[in-house]
Amino acid sequence: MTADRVGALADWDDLDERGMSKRLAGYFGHSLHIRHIDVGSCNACESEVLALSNPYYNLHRLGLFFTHSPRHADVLLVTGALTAAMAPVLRETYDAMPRPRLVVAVGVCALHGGVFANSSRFMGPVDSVLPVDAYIPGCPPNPYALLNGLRQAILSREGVKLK
Amino acid sequence: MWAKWLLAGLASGRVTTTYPRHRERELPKYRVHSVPVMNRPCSDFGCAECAEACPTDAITIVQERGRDAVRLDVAACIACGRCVDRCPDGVFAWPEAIDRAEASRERLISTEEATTHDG
Amino acid sequence: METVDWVAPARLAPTLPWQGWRMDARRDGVEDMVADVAQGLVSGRTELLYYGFAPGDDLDDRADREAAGKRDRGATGDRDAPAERGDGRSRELLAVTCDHSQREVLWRFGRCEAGQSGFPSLAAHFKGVLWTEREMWEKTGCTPVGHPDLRPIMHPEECLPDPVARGAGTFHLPLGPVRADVSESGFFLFDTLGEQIMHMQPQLFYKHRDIESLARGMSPEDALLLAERISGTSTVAHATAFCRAAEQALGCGSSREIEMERVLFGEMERLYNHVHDFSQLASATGMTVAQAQLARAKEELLRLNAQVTGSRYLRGAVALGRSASVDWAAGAARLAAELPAIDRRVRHFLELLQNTPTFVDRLRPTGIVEEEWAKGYGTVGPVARACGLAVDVRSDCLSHLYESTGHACMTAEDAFGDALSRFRVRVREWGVSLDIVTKLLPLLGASSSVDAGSPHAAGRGIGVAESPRGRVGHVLFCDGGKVVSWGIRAASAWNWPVFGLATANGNIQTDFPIIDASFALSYAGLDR
Repeated sequence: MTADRVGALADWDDLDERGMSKRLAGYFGHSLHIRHIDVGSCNACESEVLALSNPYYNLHRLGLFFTHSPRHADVLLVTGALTAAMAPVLRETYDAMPRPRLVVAVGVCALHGGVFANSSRFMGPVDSVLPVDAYIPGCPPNPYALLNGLRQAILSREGVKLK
Repeated sequence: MWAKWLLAGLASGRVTTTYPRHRERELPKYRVHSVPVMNRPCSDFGCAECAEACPTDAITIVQERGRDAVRLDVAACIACGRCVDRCPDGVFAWPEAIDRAEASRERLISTEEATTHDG
Repeated sequence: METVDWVAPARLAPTLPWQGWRMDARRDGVEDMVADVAQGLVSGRTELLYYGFAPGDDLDDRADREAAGKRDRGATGDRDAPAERGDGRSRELLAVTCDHSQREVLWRFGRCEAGQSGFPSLAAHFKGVLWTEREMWEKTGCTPVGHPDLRPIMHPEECLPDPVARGAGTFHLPLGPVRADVSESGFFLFDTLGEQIMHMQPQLFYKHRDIESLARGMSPEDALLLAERISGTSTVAHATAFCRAAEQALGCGSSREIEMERVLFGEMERLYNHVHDFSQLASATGMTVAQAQLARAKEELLRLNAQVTGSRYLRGAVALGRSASVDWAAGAARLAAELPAIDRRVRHFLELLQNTPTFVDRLRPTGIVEEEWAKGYGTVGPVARACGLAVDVRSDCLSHLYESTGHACMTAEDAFGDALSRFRVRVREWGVSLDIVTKLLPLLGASSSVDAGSPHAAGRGIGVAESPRGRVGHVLFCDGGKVVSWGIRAASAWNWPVFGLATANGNIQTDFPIIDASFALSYAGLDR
């Protein structure tokens, strides 16, 4: 495959890597706590989010952790097509999070609706309801994309004084 | 019993990826279809096979600076692979960079001309 | 672990769904039909594959109204109580039953008289459709007369369940819809006395996406994409059941090669799902080494899926009327090369788990499903088999597909119906699934497609498949090559009503994660 356009595979330089961990340390005190919320997915996205904790990806090595309460969370990871019943729940969960907070939309359902875009129960993409810091496409996105999405979310706050 | 568990755990070796470090080495360890990319220009905008095949209207033919262009919005893509299979030109392909994620919605949209993505 | 006798490939039986079965339809008045179906189900003579309204009527006026309401969102919604919305349109009830001894599938239509706002409740006799009738009532306003527990189910944003247990010291603990850990959204109301769970009511449908009405007017190829996304971890089972239903409705049939691939993909799906369930059980009991190692095996299986089909969840693998676009020469070699190592790892850790008293003791008397519940609610899958019921579409409805692989229905040897029995059923099934995959691998490669020819102008079809969680049933009505009506019955839809009963069956709060993991229910499958 030609590797000269979109999707070209190149290594990120080490500087970027070190920069990322530095920023992470600055913003979130060496660790980032994630609260996942399912607003109407088919469970494939959950399975991929769970896969982040398996020995192949081991997201703890990057200082990322899942947390049980939105009160402890820095990142809200939203999967699924936002349904009428979950819309108020999503809002409440977001409101319960302390600032600074990031929102990462995971999968085509959260980004656009995908095959459910015309459903009478679908309330619109997540970014029509919350400010989204990173978008992860895919159906479902694989765990590498999830890691990259979390990285993008942190980088998106570059230059913003959060403390 | 606990000794057995300890040994079983230790004996299994390390499989953990170093990603995001050594991205170039880690990603190609297995192949998976994430979301397609447009890896070459389309030669026949009259064909529109891709736009017809796409079940979620992720692919559309648009006017870009007065000219026809293929517009791919991967936010709407369910990776069904119809465009990859049906395009007679081979415009669409599964990328090796399977970790696509963007910080802005606009960057998920590519048109046949403006296709830049640094991962 | 089990070994089963291998029949030589040359003797592979004809492998088409419903081959040798009689398909029949009967139209009666609704009273006769419900009484008759109830009698068959209660006596255990027949099994219910699908139950709902037949198309031809405006089934879902609420959906239409919601769509209209969405356009001018914010306007005052007039939500009349469903019971008052019986609109006098005549309706037809549909029950698809199968009789294993007669090898017969019967489509029972029951005509409601015009102007009749109710129909006799089947749930009054057969508890398996308790939730289904609540759904039907809420969607159409047609009252199931005699339903023992009629209350709204589909709109949790408007209406949550009320506590049942009352008295001194009783606490009501609402849990969800956003719960601990990474999980699907659902709500549970526990009534507890100290640690003891007195009563538990699950409230689902938070994720109701209205898939059935969404598909109306779509081509079956597009609806297949929806079918794959009903329940992500049962992608193959839903896609297979949908394709079988569509092929019957369109009259184009299937071929031996196509069905063989579907069977293979179905077993690959079962493999990764069962390992996932083992891993979740290990996690619920605090066995972290086993949890990590089994999660690792699941990841390896998912990667294997991706290597063979391009998708980790086998999406796009099952196609309508044609073989998968898979390079079997490479795919089969890879599977044959990598599966044994994964199998060794999984068996090693399952062995360790089964010999670890702290694991076994936590599972033994936990979350017992009484046999009468299993029968009365029509449970399916490992939950039913853990009670000793031989419910498995692979060995009854689809036996010819599996008989050449020597498949036998794996019921628990010690059918207590508890979490340990469910675990052991899955352990036995792991061996069987792996065996089926290994035996089918050398036979693959011939690609095949069936000529759609001139598809039926109008037709109906029923497709079943055994998902990792149990029987999945799809009923499809087509007209002019488009979907007219689609009914989905996911495996978990049969098991959910029993989940609450099993949780409250003498268990304490800390048992809940174990019961949850051992049932391994799909929220998305029921919600649709």
